[in-house]
Amino acid sequence: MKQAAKNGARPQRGIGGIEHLMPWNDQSGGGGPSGAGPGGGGGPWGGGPRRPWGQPPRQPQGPQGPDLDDILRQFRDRFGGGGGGGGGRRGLPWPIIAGVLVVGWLLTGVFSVDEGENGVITTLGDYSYTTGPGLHMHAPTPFQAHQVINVTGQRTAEIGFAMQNESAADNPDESLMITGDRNIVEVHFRIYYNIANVMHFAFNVRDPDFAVRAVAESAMREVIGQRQLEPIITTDRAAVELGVSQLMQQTLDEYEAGVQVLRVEILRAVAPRAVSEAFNDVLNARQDAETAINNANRETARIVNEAQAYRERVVREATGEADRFMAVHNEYRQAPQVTRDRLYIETMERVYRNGDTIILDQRGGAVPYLPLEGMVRRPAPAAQAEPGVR
Amino acid sequence: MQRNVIVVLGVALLALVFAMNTLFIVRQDRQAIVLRFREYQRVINAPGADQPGVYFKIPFVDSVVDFDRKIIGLTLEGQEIAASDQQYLVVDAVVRWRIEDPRLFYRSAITEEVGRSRLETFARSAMGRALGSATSNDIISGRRAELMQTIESDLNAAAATALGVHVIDVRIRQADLPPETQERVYERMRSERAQVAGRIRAEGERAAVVIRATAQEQAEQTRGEGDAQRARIFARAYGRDPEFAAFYRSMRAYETALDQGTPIVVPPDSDFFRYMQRRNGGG
Repeated sequence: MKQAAKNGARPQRGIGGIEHLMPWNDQSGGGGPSGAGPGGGGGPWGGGPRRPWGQPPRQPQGPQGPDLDDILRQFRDRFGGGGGGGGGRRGLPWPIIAGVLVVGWLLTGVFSVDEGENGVITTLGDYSYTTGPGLHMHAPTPFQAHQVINVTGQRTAEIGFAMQNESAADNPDESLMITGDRNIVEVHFRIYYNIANVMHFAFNVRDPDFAVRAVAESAMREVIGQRQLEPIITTDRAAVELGVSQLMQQTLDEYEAGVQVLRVEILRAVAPRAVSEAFNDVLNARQDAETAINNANRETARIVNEAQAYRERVVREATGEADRFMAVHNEYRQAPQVTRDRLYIETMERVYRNGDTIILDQRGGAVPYLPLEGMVRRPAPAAQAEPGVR
Repeated sequence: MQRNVIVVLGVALLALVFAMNTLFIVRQDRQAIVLRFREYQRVINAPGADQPGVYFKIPFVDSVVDFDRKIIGLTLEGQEIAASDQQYLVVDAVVRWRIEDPRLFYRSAITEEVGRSRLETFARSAMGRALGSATSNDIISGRRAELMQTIESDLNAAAATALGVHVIDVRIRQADLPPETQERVYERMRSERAQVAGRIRAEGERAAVVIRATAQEQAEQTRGEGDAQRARIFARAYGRDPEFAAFYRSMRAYETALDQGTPIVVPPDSDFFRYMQRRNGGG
């Protein structure tokens, strides 16, 4: 063939000639790519540095000129209506072009389905079958068509907030809801769902993901509207989640949306920001009350123990004192007068020694002057208040 | 050979053009009506009839108008409704509908866009009617499902005959208080909470006082027990010899009662000093 002859005649193959040849030589489907193979080491652009564009040594006899002429001649031959039985070189491209077109057309039926996806194939618009993952082929374009839908992957919808840099930004439009007792609660929740029936999912509801979202919002508001604020933010979350999930499933089944609600997860159910302070104050009040009670209990322990200590003390003291008395009394009974005198004298001895004793004879009748200031170590509103004192 | 190819190609091209003008595909999720010179001929694949596939029409004479066959969502936003108890509510709803009679739909609306906006008008008035005669409590909680059902059937009665659509359901997405009312609700919630907080604090204080008083009660009882025991012990001991007990106790009392340095004036003829005056004592 022409191409083979040319390749053989080319003076410097592998240096850079090939890349000039290729665009013009590539008349047969297989010729071009396989031709590039041998020269591949140098690569199409590998020759560049060795033979810069600036000074190509054999530019005049370069391959471009003749090849371009050839091509032009070929085109002229073809469209000029050259004889039917002309050489192979004239007739060859047509089947190839047609073949390429046909192959290209057939390729419209090739599609791949990833793990976790399903392909839904329709024949002339009518649902035919569903395929699993892999490379598949169906009849080309007007006859069959496909849609690829992720089926096993869990889908989520987040309502009441939007994730921004890993933190939830509240969206009050969605998150604030009225409760059954006419309060307002802020709810953030997430729906997990997947596709139960690909065909239904593909054909029955327009924008099914949006539909799930709208249904979720509506169901949540309906459920919240039937409950009181207090339980919603404390104990009833699980019940709300379940209620929403059931209501959603029921509604979506009515649409035949082909969606299965896996789980509804309430991430946040609190009093709205505008009143959160008041709500926190209730919590604080609980703490305060508990603190007051704890303090009282602590004091209780002190008071009770003090009283018990008092009882213990007075009883023991009394017992001791009584024992002492009885001991003395026992001796007293042995010698009453002596003991009594001794006790009296000893006691008075101590009393007079400790006190500032003044011995005064009152039989004279006149009231004596007593300079108590000088005699008494400690002034006291004493028993004998004298007019002259001080 | 080349001429043959050209001929074949030309024929193929003509066949393609012809096919494109005579054949049409109605997809599973579409429905179509065929018109001849703008006059209605037939309907294909309307809901209820499962007939997707390839259909034939006369080129340049017949035309095909196709519509969606899926359930379509129509969002109604921010409709202000005065409930029967004069409470204003802002209601958002989603109407799920489907073109049920494409011929009627085409005649009354031509395109889905127009049909949608006409349906929206119907829906808003149906909502106004149903919700306007309910109390705000019913809308928010009590009879929500029932009201949605009412709107749906009301809407179906009107829209089905006028537009050829079927409303699958109407869901009230939000029924909120307008912003001014919302602030009042917040105010009330705050006062309610303050009330609760006050009650809890008062209860705590009361409990604390009761606990202290109980403790005091118990303490006094304990002290009383102690005092009683003490009295019993002394009575038993002193009861043996009351006269001596009085003497003994007085002696101890003098000693402890008089402080250091207390001035004591004693007559020299006192008992203590009787030997000071007379060797034999005796007054």
